[in-house]
Parts: sequence; structure tokens; C-alpha cells
Amino acid sequence: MQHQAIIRQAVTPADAPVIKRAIAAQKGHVVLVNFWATWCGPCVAEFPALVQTSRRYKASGLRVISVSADQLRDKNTKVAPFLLKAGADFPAYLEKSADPEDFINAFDPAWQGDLPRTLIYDRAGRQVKTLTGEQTAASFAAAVRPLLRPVKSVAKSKRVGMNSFLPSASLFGITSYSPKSVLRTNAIEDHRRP
Amino acid sequence: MQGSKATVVMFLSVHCPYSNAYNDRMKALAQKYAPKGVAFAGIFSDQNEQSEVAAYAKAQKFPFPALVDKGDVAADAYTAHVTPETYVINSRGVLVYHGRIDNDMDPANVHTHDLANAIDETLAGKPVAKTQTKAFGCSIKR
Repeated sequence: MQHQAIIRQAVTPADAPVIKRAIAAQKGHVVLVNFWATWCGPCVAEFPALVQTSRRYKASGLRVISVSADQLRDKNTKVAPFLLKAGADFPAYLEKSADPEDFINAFDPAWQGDLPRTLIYDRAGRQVKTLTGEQTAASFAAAVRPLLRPVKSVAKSKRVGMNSFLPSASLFGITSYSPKSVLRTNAIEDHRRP
Repeated sequence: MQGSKATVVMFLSVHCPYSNAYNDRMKALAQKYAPKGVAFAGIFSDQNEQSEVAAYAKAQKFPFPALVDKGDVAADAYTAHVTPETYVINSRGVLVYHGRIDNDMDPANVHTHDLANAIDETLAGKPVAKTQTKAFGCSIKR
């Protein structure tokens, strides 16, 4: 009975607004959202790397969310058992919307619906990267590691001058800087425009 | 496809369960619309299953030609991303619809017949109301 209870609780049917709220609730962390399905071969193939990435970078501030595009009727028979077997230690949702097209467009109007797809949000909650197709532990790590750089390294960059950390500003989230810094950043960007 | 009132190009797959779930619907569409002058073609662009296409098409008894897309020439030309993904071209050679067959993998949940609607409108000489749609599907393995 206990085993069944765990399976039932493992996957939450949700529409795009619910999942977006779950992402926003993790502001302050880097969030990796993986769209997948049990019927999608490359999704299943990359899943161990996803679990590995979650475990490896959780302490550094990474939060993984998985979103299955499986049928609702497969939630407890296919999706939950798969997640359990894979050792997924992150929140799991299952797309449940009136029309999957609206769901797809809510996350990325340029997305054609191909799976797997991984969206990465920085600490400020901005979507900064999109990974398409099957990933590896190395490619997941390459995508999230620059965003997870410890805060003290930012402070170090600050000491050597504004320009030296400008390239990383978009990665770390502008909320960590003072309003004055933001203004200065924008001013420099404006200056570069033709 | 020359001389047809419309041509339907469908990118499909041997191994993708999402695409396979649509096999019966694709056959039904071809059987319904071929007598009305619509030509259908199935294109298999996954590079990892090309040797299996002929046997699969034979087993499935597709009522349309199953074409193997070596090197993804067709998938690239159509910018196809997933299976199944479909296109409707009218008698003047103009692309009038691109997208899904319907809104759900499970026939029981279907309420929007996007591809059939596009074909009906094209045959009636009307502009297609919804020219582009999306659905989940398997990435084409290039």
C-alpha cells in the first residue's frame, strides 16, 4: 500500500500556468525544466543523465523539474513507475491542458513540440538556455555550471571593475546587482548600439 | 502529385510510438480523401531506421507511398522537426497547412481535426482557417 501511495503522489497533472508558477517559486535557484515522455526514446535515454545532474548540482543551487507529455491514463502505470525506477528526486508534472498547442506555445512559441526539450532558468527566473534533443551528463553540466558559479566569484569580479563581469551579468541575474549597476549596464549596452 | 487537387505530405516514423499511434488515422484520411483527388505521401526521415521502412510500410499496409528520406533532404526542405508532422499543398503548389493531424495522441480525446479541416477547406477552394498547428512528437533523428 505504501508503495502505491508513493507512486500516486509522484506525478502531478498540470497546465502551463501551474508549472510556470512552480518554476517562479524556485527564484534564487537555477532551474532546469525537462520536457519528456515515456514514449520518447531519446528522453528515456537521457533520463539517467538528468537524475545524475540533479544530484550532482543540487547543493550548488540547481533545481530540476520534469514535465511529462504522456497521456493522463499512463500517469500511474508508466510515468510514475519510470520515475521511481530512475531514482528521480525532483518534482514531476504531467502536461494536462485543453490543447497541447497552447501548452507548447506558453513555454516557447518557437518550439515545434519535439521532445526532449530542456529549458534552463537563471537565478533571477529568466529563461536563458534551451537544449534540444538528447543530452548527456556532460552537456547538462555544461549548460548549468556557468550559472551555478558561487556568489563569491561574482564579488571577486566586482572588485576588478564593472566591465570585467559584464559578460556574465545575463547569466547570474541582474537582481544581484544594485540599481546603479543595472543603469550602468544598460548605458554601456546602449552605447554599443549603432 | 501533379494534377492532384491537394497533396498531403506526412513525416512519420517506424519507431516513434507517438507517430505509430496515428497510423490508423493516416490510413483513414488517405482512404477518405484519395477518391476526392488528394495525393498522400509518407516520408521517413529518421536516419537510424531507414533500412526498416520498406518492411514496416508493407506490414502497415499504408495506402500511400512510403518514402525514405536519405540524408534528411526532405525534412530539411520542409523544416520538419517531429513525427508525425504534416503539410498540405494546394493544386497551385502553395503550402496551405503545416502541423499536427489532430489535437491528441489518444483518439478518444480528439476534438480538433486540424489536418482534415485543412484538406476540406482546400478542396472547397476556401482559405485554410488555421494554417499552422503544433503537437508533441518524437524529434526526427538527423
